[in-house]
Amino acid sequence: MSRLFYGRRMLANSLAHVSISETQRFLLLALLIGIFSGLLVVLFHISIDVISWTSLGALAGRFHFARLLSPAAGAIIAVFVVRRIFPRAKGSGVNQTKIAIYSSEGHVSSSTIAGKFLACAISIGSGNSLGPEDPSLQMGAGVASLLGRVFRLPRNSMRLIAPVGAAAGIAAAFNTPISGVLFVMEEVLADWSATAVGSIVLAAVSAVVTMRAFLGNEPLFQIPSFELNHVSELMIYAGVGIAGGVLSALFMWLVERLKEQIHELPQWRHYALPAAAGFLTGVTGLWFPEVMGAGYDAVNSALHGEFVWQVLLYLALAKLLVTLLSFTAGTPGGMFAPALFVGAMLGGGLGGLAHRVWPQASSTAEAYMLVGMGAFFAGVFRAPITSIFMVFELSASYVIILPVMIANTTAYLLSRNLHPTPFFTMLAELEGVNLPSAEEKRNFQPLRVEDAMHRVSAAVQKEPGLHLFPDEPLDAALRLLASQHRIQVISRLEPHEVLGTLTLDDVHQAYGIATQEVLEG
Amino acid sequence: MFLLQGTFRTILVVSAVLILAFVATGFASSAYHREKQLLGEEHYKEGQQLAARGETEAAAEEYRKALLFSPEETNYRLSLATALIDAGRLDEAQSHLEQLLQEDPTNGLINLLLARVALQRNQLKMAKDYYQRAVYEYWPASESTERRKARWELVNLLSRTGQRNAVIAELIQLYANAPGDQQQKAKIGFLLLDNGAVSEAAQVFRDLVKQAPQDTMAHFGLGQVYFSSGDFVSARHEFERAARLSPHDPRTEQALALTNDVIDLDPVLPSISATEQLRRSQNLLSRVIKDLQACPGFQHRLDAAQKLLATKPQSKEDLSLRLHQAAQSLWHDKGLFCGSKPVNDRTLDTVLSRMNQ
Repeated sequence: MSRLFYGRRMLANSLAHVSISETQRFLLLALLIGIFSGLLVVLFHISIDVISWTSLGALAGRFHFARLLSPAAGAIIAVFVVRRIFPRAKGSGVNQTKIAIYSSEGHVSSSTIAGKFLACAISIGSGNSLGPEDPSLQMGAGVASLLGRVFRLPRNSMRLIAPVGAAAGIAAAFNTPISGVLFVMEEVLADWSATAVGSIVLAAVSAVVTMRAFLGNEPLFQIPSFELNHVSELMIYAGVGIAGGVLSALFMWLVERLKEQIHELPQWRHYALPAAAGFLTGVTGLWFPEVMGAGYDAVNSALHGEFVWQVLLYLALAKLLVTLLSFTAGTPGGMFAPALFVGAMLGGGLGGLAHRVWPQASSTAEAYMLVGMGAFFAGVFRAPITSIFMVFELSASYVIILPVMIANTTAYLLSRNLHPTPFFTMLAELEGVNLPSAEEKRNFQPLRVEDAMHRVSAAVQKEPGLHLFPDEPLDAALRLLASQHRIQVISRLEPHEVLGTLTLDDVHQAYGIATQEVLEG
Repeated sequence: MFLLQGTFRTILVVSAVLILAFVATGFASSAYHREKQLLGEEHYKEGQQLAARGETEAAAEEYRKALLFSPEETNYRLSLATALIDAGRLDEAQSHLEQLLQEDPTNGLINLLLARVALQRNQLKMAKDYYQRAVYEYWPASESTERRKARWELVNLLSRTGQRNAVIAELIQLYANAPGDQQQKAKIGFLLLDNGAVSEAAQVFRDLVKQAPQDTMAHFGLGQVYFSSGDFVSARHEFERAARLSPHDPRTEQALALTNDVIDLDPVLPSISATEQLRRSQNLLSRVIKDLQACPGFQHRLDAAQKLLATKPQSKEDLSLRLHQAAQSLWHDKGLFCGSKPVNDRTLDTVLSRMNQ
């Protein structure tokens, strides 16, 4: 015993003397978070598939009504798990992670991980039209938070660690490390200058590597070769973008209206509505079984030309409808997979139609499916950069970049015009929570020094002391004005040239004018 | 400092949990993959049974399900593509085949299936490219017959598009790599002959005769080679041998009868007397007149030929020459008056064609 104790002390001492920086330690923890999140996503994936084989495969083969009733039964069980056993696992994974980052100092409870895992595996596996990515994101954040607590991270680090886990979770779920990182930066953090970028990337990569080690290197979609037939084809891609933008705005509007209506209903809604939505999904599944569950298999089949363009459009509409019902009813599960499904089928349907009308200049429907996927995703989630990279990462084709950029930007701008509130912000508002979003930041133009300074003639001499450049944020001036009452603004090109002066009154005035404008607006 | 603030025990516990998580996930994933593989195999076998019964649509559906469980299984995808081609779902088949081709561009079978898809779509150039790749790319040793099948399909396509030299080249390759199958070799010989490669066909049939002197087909083929090259006497010799080996073979009987007729009619056959040559030349011209009688606008030339027939010979050789030259001239111009009238008198056609060479 004494030898063992001595050995442990030796090891502890040697570890204490290992000289690694705080950043390196954070990276090591990110690696650990990635591995744990990857393992969790693997188990989540397996659970969904096993439940699906049982409820929709073998069971549906034996009992005629299994397919019809399975989603409803799954929805009731999943809601019970969330409401009665793990109440902290309620809500959108992205928003709950944001809440954890912005108001709970990165804390995500362990019961959230268990609740999300169980409830979403049951609801998605039983055929409800929802996806596993959003829960994976939250479970990743939960794993990170748990490890942070285990290693007693300081408060400031705890805030940083949740997005690291979120990136790991979503990257493993999509099998796309770049998109995972970008989505977290763009949507969850809403900040491109995040200090934890290195850790986020490391966690995403390690999660994907872990996931692939167990589930194989097969990509999410088996993408056929892609080529641009004719330059004029870009017009059709823009058309797909327009359709994606309009449909995504319509979808969000419907979610908003339905959520508002549902909110007014009595308590029975919590079980009755998911059950009803599940039943309707089962009924739809009798004609279009492809819409059940996440729907990736159907997208894969469609990518290989299994469906004609009319069927693709029917599938897009059917999936949109059942997802709308399941999601607004409160059935646990995410929106990413259904969004990709709807976008793919919409793009494929329109592309197939274009190919029929204009066969020489347009590609086959499959090429448009990828573009439609990105367009609808950009329209709903308002994450244009993620959507572009996601399609690029999925297709591994440089040729697709131009059509995707055109379609996604069109869809994004159109959807923003038609429904200004982004999807996750809308959900947060419906739940009475205020969360920052990338969209808000994009619309918000911070004041700069040049907006407040008094311009002076060229003859003014540069004085000693602190100076500012005209393009610096006005907030920076406030800090300097605490130590001196007037600051000179100098040119970046000619540092001796004084362009203007700035006082606290100027700053106040600038902010006052801005406030006035906002109020008038 | 957080990693070190956590005690040694924490690190140990986390490491143990990580190892346990790896082991648990490993067990779960191997059971999951096993189950997926079994389900995939189940659907694949079902698909094979359906395909064997000719239910291609249902077979394709089963193969699709098999692929959902094992998307990396090349065999499943190949079988699906084959079933889809049979069911006429060419777009979907092509998509699966192109994916397979991306993974294995040198696979002969995938190229062959893509060639068949292109052929069904009447994309002949593309089909030819895929066939050529199918022929020259990799085939497992156990599937060498498939390469031959691909080459035969390429030969058919090239024949269809009238690329005779390419057909001959492929046939020579087929012959060079032909197994001991006499029938296949004879088929190659006849195709060579049809495409005008008489000397190559002669070589094939001489080899066949040498290898199997009792083979009717070999003698018949060699007879055809002699007949095509105008050596009617040797042709008759070979046809007679073939007829002796297979006394009631109608094809041989017909060929022999035609050859005998040609020999009886041919006015330029070596070692015949001047009288016999004149008789044959008169016979030749009168058969030409008879054959062309029905064609409108030809009458004045036929009348002139009739007059020539009635001419008394001053020199038998000279008249023979004039007669068969007249016959040749009329035969040559018959297209102008008779259009694309089918040849009624094969003997006449053979003799005159031979004389024109």
